[in-house]
Amino acid sequence: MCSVLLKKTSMYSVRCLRSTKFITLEQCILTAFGRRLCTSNHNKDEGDPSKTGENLKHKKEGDDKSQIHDRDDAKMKLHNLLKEMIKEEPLTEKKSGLSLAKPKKTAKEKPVKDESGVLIDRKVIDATKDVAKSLGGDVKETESELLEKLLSTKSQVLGGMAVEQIESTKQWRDIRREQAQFGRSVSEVKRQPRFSKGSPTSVNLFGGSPLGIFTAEKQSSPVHDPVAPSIWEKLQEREVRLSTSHPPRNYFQQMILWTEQGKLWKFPIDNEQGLEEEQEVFFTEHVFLERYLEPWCPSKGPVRHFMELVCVGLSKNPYITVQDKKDHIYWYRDYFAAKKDILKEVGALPDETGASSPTASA
Amino acid sequence: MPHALESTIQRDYTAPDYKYVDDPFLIPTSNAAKRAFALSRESGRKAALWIRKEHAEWFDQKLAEPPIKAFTARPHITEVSEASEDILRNLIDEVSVTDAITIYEILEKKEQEISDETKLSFLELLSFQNCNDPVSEDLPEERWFRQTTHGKQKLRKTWKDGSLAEKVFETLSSGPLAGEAHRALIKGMARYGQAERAHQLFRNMTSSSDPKMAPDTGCYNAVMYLTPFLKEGYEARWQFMESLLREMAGRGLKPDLGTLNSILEVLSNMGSYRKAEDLAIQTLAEFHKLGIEPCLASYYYILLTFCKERGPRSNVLVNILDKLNCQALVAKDPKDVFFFVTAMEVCRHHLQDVDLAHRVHDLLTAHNNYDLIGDSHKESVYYRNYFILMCAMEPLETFMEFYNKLVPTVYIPEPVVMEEILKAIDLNGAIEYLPQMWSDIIIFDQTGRENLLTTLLDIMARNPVAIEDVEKNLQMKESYLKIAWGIWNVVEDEEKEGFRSRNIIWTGSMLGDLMTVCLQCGEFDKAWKVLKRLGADEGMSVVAEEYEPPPLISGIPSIKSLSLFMDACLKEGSVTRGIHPSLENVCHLVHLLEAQRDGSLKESGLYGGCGKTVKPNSAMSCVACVRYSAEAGFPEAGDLAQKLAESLSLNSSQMSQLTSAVGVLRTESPSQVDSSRIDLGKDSKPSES
Repeated sequence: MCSVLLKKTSMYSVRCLRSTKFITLEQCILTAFGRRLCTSNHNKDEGDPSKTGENLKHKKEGDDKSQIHDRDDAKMKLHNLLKEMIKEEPLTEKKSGLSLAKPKKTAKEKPVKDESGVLIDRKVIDATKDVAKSLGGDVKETESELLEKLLSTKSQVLGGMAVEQIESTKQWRDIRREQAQFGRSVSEVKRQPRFSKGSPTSVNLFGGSPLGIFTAEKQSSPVHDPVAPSIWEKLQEREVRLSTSHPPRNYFQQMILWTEQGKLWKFPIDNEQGLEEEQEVFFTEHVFLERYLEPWCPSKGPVRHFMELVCVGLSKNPYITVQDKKDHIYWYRDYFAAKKDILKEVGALPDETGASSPTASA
Repeated sequence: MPHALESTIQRDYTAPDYKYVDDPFLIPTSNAAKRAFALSRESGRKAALWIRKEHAEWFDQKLAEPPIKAFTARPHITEVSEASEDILRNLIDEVSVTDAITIYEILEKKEQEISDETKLSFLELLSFQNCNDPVSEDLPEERWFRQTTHGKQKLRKTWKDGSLAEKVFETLSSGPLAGEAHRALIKGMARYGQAERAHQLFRNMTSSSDPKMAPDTGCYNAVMYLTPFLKEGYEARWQFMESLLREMAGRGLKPDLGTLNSILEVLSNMGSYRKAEDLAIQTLAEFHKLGIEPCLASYYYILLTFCKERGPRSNVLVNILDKLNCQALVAKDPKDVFFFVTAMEVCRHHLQDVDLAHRVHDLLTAHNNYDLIGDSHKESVYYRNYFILMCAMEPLETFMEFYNKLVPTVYIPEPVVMEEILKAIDLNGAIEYLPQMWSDIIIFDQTGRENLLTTLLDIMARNPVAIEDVEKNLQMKESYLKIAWGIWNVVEDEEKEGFRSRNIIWTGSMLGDLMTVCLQCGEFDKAWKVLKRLGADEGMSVVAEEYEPPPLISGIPSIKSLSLFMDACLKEGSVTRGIHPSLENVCHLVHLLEAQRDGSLKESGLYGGCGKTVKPNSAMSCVACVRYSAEAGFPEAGDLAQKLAESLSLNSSQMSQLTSAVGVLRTESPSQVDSSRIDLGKDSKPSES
């Protein structure tokens, strides 16, 4: 158990070793490529001796490595690196047989996401080796070949290089498009259109030849065409409406919603909204109520006075219906009828026989 | 419907959504918080509705004259409620299925007569809803946040066999409304995937000689929609549909938009059937001839048909957009809402065309078309595709302008989008955006995402701050440090909370990157803390402070960050604080080794005599660093050790630790280091075995 663990960890160390090395190589190549891009962009600068001088000055100051536009420098570095690569390659392979020292703390078996993510394809390495062997010819061409190979495998590595801001948008887009097409994760690559080469085809939506089943003239509506929409149709409409109605996005929409739900006054504003049955009643019915005093109310005296005040009050009340007003008046009629004796006693009601008492008018 | 006042208001991209503005303190800033906020509000509304329903007797005051129906409590319907046909009809109109079923059962029990018309309406309601209550109209948030996969996923049978709908159908099937009842049940069964019986009923209708039993267009649409259930093989499916269409024409039935959408939907599901595209075009032409214009759902099916994952690329979306031409769109089919999200997906995955994506977005934002976005899920998928596409295709400045416009009021990027953005920033070397991104990650509550933290650290380690303006340079370094230390705190806090809740675990490369950032920003103490976290000081007797051994770290940092630490450490130990500028430019191995050689020359030249002034702490750190490098299996450990031995005067115990770590040390003059480099690499091997 323990030895297996040990072996695994040592294997892992080798992997780490390799990957770090190859990443460094790739990054170097790609950095060189990035510079090539910059230099091709700054061709004008190269032609101008004063500007080149300025660049050199920057370099001396050690200000920023990305400002070095020296093509030869990049070439030289690539050359050196690839040479070193050839030298060191057998060494690494020999090493893999040995059990190497490993960090004590990495006894945990958990693979590290980062490292495994950047393990470089064997093919790429072979390709770079081949190219390295044939070096000495056109270095620039080799560079671009290398890049193409690398592009097609991993764009993440590309992420490692700090490409200087490319001015031209078009050039920029071309590069990004290439990456977007090639540099997807494996799961996404599967989704790639198989025949992605060639420009996409255009479609004339309504230009095809019709199926020829229906004829435009023959549009006699069938027997079953219900006049009123059925519940089914209403439900379908409701479904469409709900699928496109969303929470309100501003206060006006909120008010529109409330209005539709019947929680707010509808426009145009009308203070008799919802009082449809009252629309039938003419206003005189509401205002002239004295006629309901006839014939029971005495023609004069305190009761008459009181009832006239009641009528004035009721005629100004907009909140109750005419029937309510009538009921109100008739309630008093019954009340006074019930208290007839007392009223007569105090003289509030005139005697049918004699004149009213003098105190009654006070 | 145009609303005069509402149409004067444009969407305000600087303000949070209307539903969140009640209390500025509570405005949510992450996707989860937004969802929780909106749904909590709605659940308050639900609670109120529940109380009013449960205790209707508390709300008997008439506060308004005339009474407002929306505010009055709805009668609570139970088995003992008063029932009549009118009540049933009202409930059907209000689409309250459960209540209508209760009333219907009461009426049945009392053996009260119900008219056939009402029964038919009831049957239609039950068929349409499959005897379930619909989502309430009063709860828009619930509809907005509901994870609707309905429609996109494959139709499966959800029809309730033997339900009340079928019983009601039985009572109608022999009466005068038998035809209508058949139609309602067929459409309901088709809607919920009961293909066999729907087809059987349909065949009963077509074979009947009674003109009242003739199927209508809706029936044909429903059966065509079921074709994939009824026929195997693409050719057979098409023949089946064609025969149905001819039957319709023979009966003099007029096809409608539903017919078109049924045909196109079946065609869109025909995988690799080659004729599907031609047939779709022919169908469109046929219906165009009949004067039936396709709706967004039809275009959605067309997109599915033409833009297959594996298949030739098609520009059909361009043709569709030419046809739609930024006009005001009206929803005609429930599946219209799938158009925009699918169109954006086609832009990203199928065509990789950002200009087309802009056109789609223009169409969406024109008029009231935004209503057709669907729900929150579709909206975020739409924006996810749009953002990732723009991030990949547009210059970073343009993209960030767009980002600042829509984030966070309209859309909050998911972690996967954030990662894409970070990668784009890395590719551009546009480190000035990193502080903003980090603060956004915090606000959006995405600090728990390991991939984001790893990417951020990686970017910062590989893109050191180098701005000409001294003040800006300092500022940037400060924010770098803030980000790095923010990440440190996040992960450390997670670790403190215990093993269970942890979803981020330090890896060697993360800590290495963190260390590099600290060193680049001149924070040696923090870098030493990080190295200790890596476990570099284990077994060092010099360690004064006693602390609990931290959890193990998997993986190792790069040698680059380790040697950077060495250099900083040497300098820290000598006179000055901070790092020599020449060391900042160390970017890969070749540079590193060269720089190391130069550096050690310089060190020994300048400070060779002051070796004794070096603080013990610094020497100890150096030794720890070398030991760790050796244990990690870096052949360069020998170089580091060599350098250390030359630069500082070590005491005997440190020396022995060093020797035990990397093997024999040479004590030649620094000029010989270069020639002995490979030898040293070999020297380090014994310790590794």
